[in-house]
Amino acid sequence: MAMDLELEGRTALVTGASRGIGRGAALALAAEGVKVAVGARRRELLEELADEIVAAGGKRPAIIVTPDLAVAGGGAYKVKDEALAALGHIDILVNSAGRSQNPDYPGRMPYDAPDTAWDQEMQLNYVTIRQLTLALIPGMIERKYGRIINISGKTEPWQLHTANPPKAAVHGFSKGLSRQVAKHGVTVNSIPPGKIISEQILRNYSEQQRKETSKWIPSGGFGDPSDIANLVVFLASPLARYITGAVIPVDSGFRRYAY
Amino acid sequence: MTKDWQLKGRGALVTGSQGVIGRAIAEALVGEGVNVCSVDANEGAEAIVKQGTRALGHVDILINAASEVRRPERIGADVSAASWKEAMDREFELPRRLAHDLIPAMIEAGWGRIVNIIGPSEPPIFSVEYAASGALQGWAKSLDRAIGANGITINCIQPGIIKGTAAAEHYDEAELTGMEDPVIPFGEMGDAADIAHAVVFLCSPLSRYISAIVLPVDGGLCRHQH
Repeated sequence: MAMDLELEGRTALVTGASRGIGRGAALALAAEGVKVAVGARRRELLEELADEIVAAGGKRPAIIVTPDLAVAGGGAYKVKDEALAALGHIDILVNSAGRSQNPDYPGRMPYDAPDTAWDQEMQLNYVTIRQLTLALIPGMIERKYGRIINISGKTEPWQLHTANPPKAAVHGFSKGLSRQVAKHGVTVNSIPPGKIISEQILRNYSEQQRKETSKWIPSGGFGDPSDIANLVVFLASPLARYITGAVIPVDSGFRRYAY
Repeated sequence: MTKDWQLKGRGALVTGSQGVIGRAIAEALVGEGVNVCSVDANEGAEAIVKQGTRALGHVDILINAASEVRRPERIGADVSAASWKEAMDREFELPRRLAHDLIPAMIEAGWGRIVNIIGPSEPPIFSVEYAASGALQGWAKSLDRAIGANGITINCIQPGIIKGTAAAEHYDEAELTGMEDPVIPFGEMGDAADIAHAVVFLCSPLSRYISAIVLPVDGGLCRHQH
């Protein structure tokens, strides 16, 4: 018998949903009948996404215009409150708001970069994820169903970079949490994306750099947000109930470590 | 809503048909419209490839699921060279050889899926199976460099303790799940279907950008965090 994902009627909050991976995840979940709340800073992009979801036959998502989540100050809790107000409860949290570079410090970090440059990246790429996750976990435990899916990053730092410490923190946090909540029907997993075509990647890589980088990708090319979204949908489903505490790269074998 | 994993009409060769995991995988693939040839791994690589090719015409998907019928056997540091080789042949060399023989046709077709069901990476005892499992992981990762550009993915699934397997018989489920922070955080041994679901996902064209990974399907059993 063919598989039923059993996602129809569930609810999801997707952060970083205006572009790239978050947008792809929101589209894919909505296509499976999930009622979605989409969060990001740019309302007009979220409205466009909402129209696209409806045009594809999905339920109109709730739009949550978020503050800059790289700034400390409870932005995650505001997002949580608005999402719960819109959806009632959250079954699936896709933590996709994040970035691989501080826009003021593209590339390697200078030794004398101010603490704020590091703090912002820790806030966005780890603290916000931890806050949102822990705020939604009690409701998931109560309903005996929950899915935390973190879009993290590779754990192969090749230079001094703001993204590596918070992404590693997400993996450590997720593993510990996963062991504690597994018996309540809640799974916690992280997806380090490979080179996926998105607004960020197009900004960070010139066409020439993309060509050079592709030589190191076994399939020979960059991926698409839908490649991540397909895994998000699978992990969100009850079919993946026994997968938890895992770090699952979607990178066409780009990273080098074999385990 | 039924998910279309886009596998209808593909041909899959599944080893380990006598075990619950191999059987569940074969059933799940059949459920997706895949033509499945299940084989007993004891027949040897050449005979298996012949049998699969004859039955299916073309093998798109290779599932190496034979190792689950075994469980890690505690051995002494003085293990004989012969018994070490015998175990490595069974656990590592056979899956490697099957892939090697089937890959040329996958390359020609521009599409292929290889999924290896492997043992754990956290040895509590001395056993050949852990070496074989590590070898499979390193082999799969490096082989991906050679075949990834041909529409082929190769991945490993690392099951936890699965009900109905020979390995499961050696554990008392209550001991693994009874305490406040149980050895198996999920609180139960897994079902073979849990493994099968992951296999179907990894075989689908929808997972084209996932390759050379080790996916634990273990209810949180493994301890390392990556």
